[in-house]
Amino acid sequence: MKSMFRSLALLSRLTYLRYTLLGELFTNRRFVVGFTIFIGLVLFSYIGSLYAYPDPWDISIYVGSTICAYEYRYLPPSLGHPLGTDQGCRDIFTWLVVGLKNSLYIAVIAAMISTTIATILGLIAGYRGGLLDDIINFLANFLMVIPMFIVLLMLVSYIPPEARTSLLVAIVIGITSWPGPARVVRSMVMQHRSADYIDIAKLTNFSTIEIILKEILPNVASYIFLIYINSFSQAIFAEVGIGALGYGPWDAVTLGRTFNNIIGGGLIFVGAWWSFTTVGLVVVMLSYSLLLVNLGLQHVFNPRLKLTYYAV
Amino acid sequence: MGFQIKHPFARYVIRKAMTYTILWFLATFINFLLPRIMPGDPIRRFIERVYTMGQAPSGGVTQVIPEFEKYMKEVERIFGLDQPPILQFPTWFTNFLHGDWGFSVSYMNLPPVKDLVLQALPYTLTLLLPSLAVSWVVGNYLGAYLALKGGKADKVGLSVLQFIAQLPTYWLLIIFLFIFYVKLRWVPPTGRPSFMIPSLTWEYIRELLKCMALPLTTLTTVGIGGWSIGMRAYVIYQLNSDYIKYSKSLGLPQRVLGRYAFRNALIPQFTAFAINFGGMFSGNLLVEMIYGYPGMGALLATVMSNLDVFAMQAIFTFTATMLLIANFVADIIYGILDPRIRRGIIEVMT
Repeated sequence: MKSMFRSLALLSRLTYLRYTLLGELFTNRRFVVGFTIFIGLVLFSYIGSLYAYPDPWDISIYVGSTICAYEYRYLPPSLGHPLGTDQGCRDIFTWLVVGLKNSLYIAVIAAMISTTIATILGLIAGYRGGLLDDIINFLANFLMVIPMFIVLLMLVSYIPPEARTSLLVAIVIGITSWPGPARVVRSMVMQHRSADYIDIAKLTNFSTIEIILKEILPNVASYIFLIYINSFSQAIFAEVGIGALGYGPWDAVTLGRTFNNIIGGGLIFVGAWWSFTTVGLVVVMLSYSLLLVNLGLQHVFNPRLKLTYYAV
Repeated sequence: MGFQIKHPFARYVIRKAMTYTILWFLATFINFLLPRIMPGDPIRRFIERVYTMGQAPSGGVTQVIPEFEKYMKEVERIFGLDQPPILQFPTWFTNFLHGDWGFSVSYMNLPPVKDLVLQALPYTLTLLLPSLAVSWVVGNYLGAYLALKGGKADKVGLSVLQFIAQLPTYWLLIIFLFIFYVKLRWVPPTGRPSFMIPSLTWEYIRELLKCMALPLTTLTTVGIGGWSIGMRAYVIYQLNSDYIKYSKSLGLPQRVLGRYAFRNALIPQFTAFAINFGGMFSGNLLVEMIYGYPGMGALLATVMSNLDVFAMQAIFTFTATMLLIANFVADIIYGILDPRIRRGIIEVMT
């Protein structure tokens, strides 16, 4: 590991790669480790689904019928079932792999929605100021006072089960998680608002929208990227949380639902440690890798934070 | 405005109080409106469940009671549910303030929601208050130690703490449950102190402590991670500030500088403690549900799974109220601890 970093650093020094943004990123230890783990997990979900059974609900391939036979319940790990089976004869490895893939999809959409809302509101509030800013700031503060997980759970539980699709869950996660990011974008925009280049843009008759899109947005783009990654890991946590409680999407197997299945199926008391340890480890590795990526990016994009590197 | 409040701190407190009152009204109203615009009728579901004995007849509930729709109309008229939600709100709000929180349709005997909350709240507080207090104190000292020590210990410690803070509490609980119940049998399998009437006898307390051991350990472990990371960042921020640099140039010893930084870094931690104290009243849903601990989280999970809108409204409004009060207290504490606000040197908006 250490020699790998040393050779990477040497390579970057030789090729002057070090002085580009990407070079600096890939010599950052935190970023490299986090990025590797994350890519590894994504690959695991795609390569694993080749090995797994095609349908997480279909047990007839290895049981022989659709009715779960007693001797196929709570199977220990074997070549056919790397993580064993649960109380309904379902293959846990398939559930893990498919769940990881679906959870990543949900998190991508949810993070996209929340980042978009946060960017738009943050840009408007930060650049225009005045009453609009007061209203948006008040709303964001209000929503940040209340723990978002409870609000999310409230919204999701009010939706009837039949209507709870993965897209809808992603949208609900997205629209409940914009306040924090919006405040960050707003404060970043406010730092740029009174800069000289904005005054020049105003003098050259740029319209407000042009100034926001052409002058301010490129300058805060790196922060928006950071916010996206942070929202992504928050969304995964949110989905696993509501899914484990049984309020996840009903049309897809997700990591949260796999957890719910493990808790509800009594796999803990049967002693099937391989199942819950692995599923939990995947969630932990996912969020930890994203944290490392975020810290690495912060280190490169915002060197002022070098001393503290705040926990995200 | 004819009069002006002279004292800056009084002005600060009054402005905060006004903001939070508006927020509270808003939160209560949204909480009331939301279930009413969502599809699904909890009363209908409850009556169906009672009359069909939990089984769904093929022809629906009208097969058992032919005049069901007529009865439903009557029920809605008696309780005023046929009116638009805006007109229902004042009635519900005054009832809520008078302690009438409605009935829970999750249970067949329709218990008052207030009784359910009063039963669950002591359990949640006895679990979460010690865990919050211990993790706050330990986390603060650990974070400050790492920040002041620096170097290798800081780097390794921070990585470990970041990993711990990322752990989902429910997963840690599951692993502890597996080790300490399934393998070692040191703790009971469920957090509900069974076959005992809650009392202050020694036997009951011992039973409760046994039941609390696992969730308490879990929440404290994860809590220490979060608190110490925050404290470390605050102490480092203080160490880089001008007054510390000035004191250093005067030749004050490192020990004294550390004490200065620690005391100032504690201010945001105090307010965060107050906010977390308010968040405590909703319990920890997943931990309590998995371990069957009879607190607010488990109550909320039960109530939600039955689409019990009346109980949900009351509980959410209660927890939001506690949160807003805690935030208000946190702002007051911040104002008292920070002399710049206390003496009106800086004005804080909203």
